[in-house]
Amino acid sequence: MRGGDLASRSAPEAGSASPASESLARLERALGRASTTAERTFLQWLSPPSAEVRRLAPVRALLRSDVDGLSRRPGGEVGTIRLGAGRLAIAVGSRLHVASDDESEAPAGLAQSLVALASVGAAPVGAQIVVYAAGSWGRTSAVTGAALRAMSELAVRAGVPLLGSSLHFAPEYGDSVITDAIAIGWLPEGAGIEEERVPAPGDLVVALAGGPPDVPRSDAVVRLRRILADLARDRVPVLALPVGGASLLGPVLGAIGSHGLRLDGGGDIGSVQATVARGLDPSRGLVLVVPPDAAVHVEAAAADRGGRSSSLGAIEAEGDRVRLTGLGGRESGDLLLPIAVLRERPAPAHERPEPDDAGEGGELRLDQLPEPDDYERTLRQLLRTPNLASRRWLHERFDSYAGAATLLHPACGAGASILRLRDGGERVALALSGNPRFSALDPYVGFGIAVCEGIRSLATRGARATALAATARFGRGDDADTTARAEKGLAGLRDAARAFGLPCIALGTGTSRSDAEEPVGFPLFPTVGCIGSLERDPVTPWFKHAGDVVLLLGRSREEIGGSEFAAIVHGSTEGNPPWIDFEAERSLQELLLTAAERGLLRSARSLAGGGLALAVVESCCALPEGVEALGAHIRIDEGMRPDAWLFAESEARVLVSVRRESVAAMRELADTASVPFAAIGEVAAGMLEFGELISLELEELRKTWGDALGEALGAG
Amino acid sequence: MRWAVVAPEDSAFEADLLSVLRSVMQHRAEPARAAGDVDLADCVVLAGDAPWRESFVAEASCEESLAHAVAKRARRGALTLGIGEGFAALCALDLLPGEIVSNEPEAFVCAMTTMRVENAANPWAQRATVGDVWRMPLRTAAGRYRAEEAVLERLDRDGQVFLRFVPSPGEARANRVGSDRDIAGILNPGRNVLGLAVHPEHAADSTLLHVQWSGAPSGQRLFQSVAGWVEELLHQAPVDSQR
Repeated sequence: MRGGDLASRSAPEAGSASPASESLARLERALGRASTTAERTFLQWLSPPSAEVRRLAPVRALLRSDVDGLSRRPGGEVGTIRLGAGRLAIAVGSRLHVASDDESEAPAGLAQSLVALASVGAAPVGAQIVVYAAGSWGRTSAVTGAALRAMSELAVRAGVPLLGSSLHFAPEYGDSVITDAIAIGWLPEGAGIEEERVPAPGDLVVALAGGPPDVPRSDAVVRLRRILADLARDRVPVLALPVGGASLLGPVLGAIGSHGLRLDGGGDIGSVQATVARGLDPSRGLVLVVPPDAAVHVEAAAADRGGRSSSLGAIEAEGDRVRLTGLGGRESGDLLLPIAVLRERPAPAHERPEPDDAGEGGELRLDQLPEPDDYERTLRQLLRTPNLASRRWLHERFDSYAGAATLLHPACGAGASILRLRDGGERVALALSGNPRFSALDPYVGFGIAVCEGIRSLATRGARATALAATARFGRGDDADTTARAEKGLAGLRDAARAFGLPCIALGTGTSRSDAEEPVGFPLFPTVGCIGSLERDPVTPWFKHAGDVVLLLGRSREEIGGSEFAAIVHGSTEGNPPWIDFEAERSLQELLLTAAERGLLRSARSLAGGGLALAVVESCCALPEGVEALGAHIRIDEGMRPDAWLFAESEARVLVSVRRESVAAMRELADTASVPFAAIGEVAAGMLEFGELISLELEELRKTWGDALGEALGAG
Repeated sequence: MRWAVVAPEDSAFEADLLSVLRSVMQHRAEPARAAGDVDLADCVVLAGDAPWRESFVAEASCEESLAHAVAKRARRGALTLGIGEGFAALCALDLLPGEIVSNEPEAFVCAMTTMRVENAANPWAQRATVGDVWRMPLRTAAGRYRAEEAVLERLDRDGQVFLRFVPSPGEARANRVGSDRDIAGILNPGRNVLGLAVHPEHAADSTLLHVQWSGAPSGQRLFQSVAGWVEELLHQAPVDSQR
């Protein structure tokens, strides 16, 4: 956004239904007259920069926050929750850029999440990232490889272990590359900067950056962390507000309550805006609200650590308005803007559709698709798909050891990373999930599935989910249809969070480059982070002993809409995604936690992309160093077509292996919890067999699945 | 056993070493920020990232610097361990031959890897024998050891290769960084200076599951070896003569 450009633009056409024109109409109603060009420019500047942010805000307010020990910062990108002898801080960051950009943009989302952690004074203990990129090979592999290198370098230099990482490819992403990051940090009791500080009239609003714009993000992040630690040590009362994903001053407006805000102009509106924008790159800086007598300490601390601080304005007693002062030239006098105009729209009220609704994606009926004539070839084809191939290649490109607390390496953690906090020894689990294809077919279901899959991933490790964090992306355009779909998605997120009684500690959306001429669009989908804790060593996801019984918990249906099988084998991305049943997910979660507590589970793995077949392959092949690979003999269910049995992606299902003598106890637990239970085979040495249809040597399986991603991305 | 940890201030490198040496090994360990901080150490350990290594090495020409003090002590026979970029720093300070360069193929690698102990007659392998297989993680974009052929010949001939990458069963390649002659760690002729491309501090805590599954915690053996060596020396001779 550039002030000069904006100032020359005319107001949106009357009658337009876009949120931007709604805001303008509200401004003119509040003023009781037509707005001036400067007022419109000021409004546009202070309004959330994208429709995405506007859509996000009301939902954030609806997500549960009435949890003891939960604290969310204005702006929403970071919050803390009590855990043991301290507090766990969770922050989100996201950055979207076009593939032609410099790859140095890629780590901005990760840096943003680390800046947000620094704002609450938390030392980072780990992060997970997801990269979404186009599925057309060639340029994608180079761009993705460069993005991964850049993020790896940032994490190493900032001393943050990347506990898990994933890639998702789809042609619909076009030239866009998005990186979502969720970072967790730790605050021992009594540490951190003053959280409860309430801004008071006279307080100064200061932009704090970790150095000039050419400083690497890793250095800026470390400097910010040190500046804020110095201020905390010296008991300087500051309120630090990250600005990622929100409007330039959105978090400040959220924090000042009934007070007003004064911004000090420098001659014209464009120069003020440019100054503020430069100072507030969310991946390199944040906003501080400080008492006037503390400003000198902030300046000194910033200078001492190589950072930069600049005053933007002050909190005013006279409430509910933003005042821009110091304008010269044609726009003489102060500009006043009622804060109410900037307030958020009412929350979306989307009613959950009934299960028998046709859905948005139309039907994709299995009986209309030919059955594969060679199941072994089909399985190999799916295992080589970048979205299903082993993530080990990716995990090995990031430092997961820094911090010496990684209890379970992400390469064998089945999507959930487990770490141990150094101070208290608490074990924390983190899982990221999100399926853009399901969200595209049905936003409500897609967003809900993302929450359910994260919770299930934690439960398979024996961890109970305690909180959520998410970044959400809402698609291109600002039209009514996009808005409606976004609201459905957010309602799915809200309902899933409520169904599990989970607070959402941090919720954000991505931003394009701050200097981009036009925002870059991207399809609708969320990345959901589930955070949990566990009191014992985690249940691990690989098969342990030949002769153990393999159980499938949960109901399998012929649901192939949106599946990798439908996309890769039949070239179809149509249909309805699998249905979500929150009650079934809750029952399954409780069953898993009880079984883990009783020590019944030898292994457990959630079913997601690739269905039952991939879960079995992963249980055989995703192993830590030094562990022997085992195969399995799995029967084919006679009540379903084999391709649906093997590859459908029905939700609320988990694959576990147990000792033979534990089967009865598991059956009893499943019956009590009303969770469908089936013994589908046994762990065996040497081969993986699915009935008479598939028989593969483990070595070939490991190679096919294990090497595919590295080969697809150039093995660089 | 007293360690001086030379690493970027307040970094994960520093914190991880201090935590493992203190909590897991029950040794005394303090960060070294100035030349005087290494005076009383039984062993100095260096680790960090590339920018840290560059500035650390650049300061070595200044007699008051920490780098100068570390190099001076090492040349006098003090135990000195360089890990990752710390290994690169020891090479750049001419305390070890050769150099550490970008991995081949060029990519960051973070993975547990296997190595064979090639020389056990030194302070670093008191709890090992030649041929033992150790497992420690690589975590670097630049961990490739490279030297001229004559240097490599001499290292082999004089028993200065401490650890060499060897594939574990079923593994195609253990040398993920592309080091010459699969070298993972080398000694100086006096055996008091050791450079490691791998990270013993991440293979010492057996409560971490990846350490448990990888077998005996090799990093613990290395740290125990050094402590055993120091203790033996302390029983043999007055303290001052060892430093």
